[in-house]
This record gives sequence, structure tokens and C-alpha cells, in this order.
Amino acid sequence: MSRPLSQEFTKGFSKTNPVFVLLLGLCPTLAVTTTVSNAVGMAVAATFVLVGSNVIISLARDIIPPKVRIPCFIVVIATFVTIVELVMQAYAPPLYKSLGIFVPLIVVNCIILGRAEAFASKNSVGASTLDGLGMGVGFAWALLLLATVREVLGNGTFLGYQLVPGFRPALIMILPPGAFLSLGLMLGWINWRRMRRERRHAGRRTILDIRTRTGVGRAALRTDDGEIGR
Amino acid sequence: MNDTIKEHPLALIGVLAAVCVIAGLALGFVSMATSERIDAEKRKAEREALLVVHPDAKGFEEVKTEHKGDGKEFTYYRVYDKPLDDEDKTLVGYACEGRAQGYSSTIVVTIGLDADAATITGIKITAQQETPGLGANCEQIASNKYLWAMFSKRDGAAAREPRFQAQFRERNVDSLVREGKSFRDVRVLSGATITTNAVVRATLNAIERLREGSGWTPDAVGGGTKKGGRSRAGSDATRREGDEGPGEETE
Repeated sequence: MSRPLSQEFTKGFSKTNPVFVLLLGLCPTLAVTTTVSNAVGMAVAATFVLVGSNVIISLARDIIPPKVRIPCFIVVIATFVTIVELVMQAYAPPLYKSLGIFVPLIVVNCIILGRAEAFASKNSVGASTLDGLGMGVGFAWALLLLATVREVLGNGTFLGYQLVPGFRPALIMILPPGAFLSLGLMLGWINWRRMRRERRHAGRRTILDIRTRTGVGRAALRTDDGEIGR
Repeated sequence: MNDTIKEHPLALIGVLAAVCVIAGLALGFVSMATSERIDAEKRKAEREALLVVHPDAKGFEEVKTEHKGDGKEFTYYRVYDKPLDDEDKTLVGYACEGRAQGYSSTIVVTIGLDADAATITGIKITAQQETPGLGANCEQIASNKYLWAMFSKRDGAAAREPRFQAQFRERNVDSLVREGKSFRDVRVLSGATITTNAVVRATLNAIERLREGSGWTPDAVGGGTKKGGRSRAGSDATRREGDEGPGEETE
């Protein structure tokens, strides 16, 4: 890999954020973001599994025959998930109770299998660790953002503490429709910004082209909404 | 590794088997390391539930018995006012677990009954995975703790127990009767009738298990009760008298 290692870490934050850009792992994203504490627990658990499985799979990438790679990945991932489950049961029983079925379901979280298949099975251990960490952090901030919006609007609390006395929360934000609404609006906003940026870039490039070709720089060439004026 | 060797069926089987064995060993190790603590946490949670349903009790005697109806093993507790090793302890009640299917999960409830098995001393929902915001509110504790209280000195107070569960305290067992789609005199969780009914059914399930399942009579189980020599029918009659619910019973 010619890319610097630091990029393997930072790409998960925004450029290929697993939730907002790759749209992976949406089931836990929608389901556990009813409270901020659930989101934190889920993010920590998923990041641990992600880093752990990335490391092991990257280490074993030369031994595992391509034909049985998926079962091998699943076994590795399931092992880490079970470890998380046992440790959570032992040291954080309330969290285990409130996350419920979504802890074992980390096994089928497509972020983890996706990173194993697309990255860890082809890259070095160091790069895979950073990739897992970065993707985990990206997953975490997406969950946190969503959970903050949903808990504040839907329950009037943050981490269980009330914010404004007398605020009547909109229950729908806690219910499944609220998850879809808030995630949909966030995705829309992110994509709108991305498209705007791309159009600007495209516009700027065209101006430069024209400038170099005609030799004149004209203020008349407007790029307000990305289209070239005459 | 050579590609032809790697594709050999035996290599496939071998690698997969090796991965599974290593995974199994790792899990065995983690399980050994955590099982003790997990058990301790479970016992702690059980103990806490018992103290919720019998706040003043000091001794809980675990009794494992077979259900008289279906023959399955179940556990109930005999509850004493003093620690178990105390000589002049008296039986103040029972505790038992009941379950019922809720909206999206099985609801498990620990209930406490008084020594006559006639009055509910309290209930505690120990497991549920109902819809957050609706059914899950059965465990919601009314609180006026504000975020800024963390920064100022004043701290708000949280209620001791969930409002929904508190309504079952000191209720007569026979007042839990169906009335149309729901139960009489049970404050329903808004938007969660199914959960509400499931909690009541789990409570009734626990009562049933304690009474019928253990072949309960004031004498057979409650040997420690002060008023001995009472027949089953007699205790039934007393319970009727104590029924505070308005109107006649309906099925």
C-alpha cells in the first residue's frame, strides 16, 4: 500500500464513514440509538470486535484458502462477539440488559464482515488495525450523533439527565420511525453538501480550463450554483 | 503457501477445523475467566429483585420444587423478617418468578406475596425487551435530575421505583381481574396495552406457580405462619373479604 498509514485511520471518520457513506451496519445503528448510553456501549463493543477480527484475519490472510475464507471470517468474528458478550455480562450487566439481542447480532454486522473481506484479508496487520480503529470511531460518532438527536428530542434527556424542565418530548423520535427520519435527514444533508462541493469543484475546473484556453479571467464566469454563466 | 496445496480439500478442512479449535479454546478460556463473576452478578440481581419486592425482609430461603401441574422444576423463596440463622424468625411472605409473552419479548417478573399469599408486597420486572419509549417505560423511573445539576450543587431526586411497578404494591391478589381488554384498576402504560397486560399476566403466572405449583396451603408451605390449622377454602374466603376492588369479579 502506497497510501500513508494515517490515512487508513482517518478515512473511516468521514470519507468512507461506515454509516453515513458506506451505509453499512444500519440495523444496529437504527435499533440501539434510542439512548446515548446504549450507543456508547454498542460503539465500544463493535469497535473491539472490528479491531480484533481485523487483526486476526490480517494475520491469517496467507493461510486461509480463498474458498473457505467467509466461514473462517465468521468464526473469528463470532468468537470476538462472544468474548464481548461474556465480558459485558460480567462487568456491565445493565448495559448487557439494555442492548439485549443486539450484542450477539454484532456477528452479522456488515461493517465487520465488510472490513474483513474488503480490507483485512488484503492488507498488513498494522494497516488493518488502523482501519478497524478508524471505522470503529466513524461508527461511534455516527451512533452518538444519532442517539443524541433521538434521546434529546424523543425523551428530553441526555445520558438520562433531563435538559429542559417542562419539555414535552416527541415520542416518535425514540420509536423506529424517528430513527429513519433522523438518519434519512442526516444522509440527505451529507449528500447535499457532497454534491454541492463536487459541483463547485467541477465548476472551478471548467473556469480554469476556459481561462487557460482563452487567456482571459472573467468575473462573468459565475459559479454560484456550479453552472457556467455565458 | 503453494496455491495447489491451498486449494486441496484437506487443506480447506484443516484450516477451517484449526480456526474453530483455536476459537473454541479462546472462548473456553474467556468463559472460565468470567463465569464466576457472571454468576455473582446474577445472584446480586436476584437479591436486589427480592429486596425490591420485600423491602423489610432479612432472610430469603430458596426452595426448589416441582410444579404440581406440569412437573417442571421451579424455585420460590420463603421470606423471613430476620436472617435465616436467627432462631425466632417468622415467615413474612413468599417470592416467586413469573413470565408472560409481551409485545416483543418475554417479560420476567419477580413478585412478593405476604404470608397468606393474598396480598402482593411488590413486583419487579427483571427482564424485558419491549419497545423503547412505549413498553420499555414499565421500567422507567420518574426523575427530575437535570443535566445542569451536575455543575451546580443542587441535585434532583429520582423516585425509588418505577411508577408502573409501584402500583402493584399492597394489592390484593384477587383484585387483578380482567375487564374487557385490560385488567381492572391497573394504570396502563400509554401506547403499551400489550406490555401492561403481559406484566399482569406474568404476575398472575407467578402467583399461580406459587399457589398451585407448590401445592400451597397456609400449612403445607407456610409452616411458619402464626395462624395455623387453616384450610385452603378458609384462606380463600379471607382473601375474598379483603378484596378491595369495586363490583363483582368477572372472568
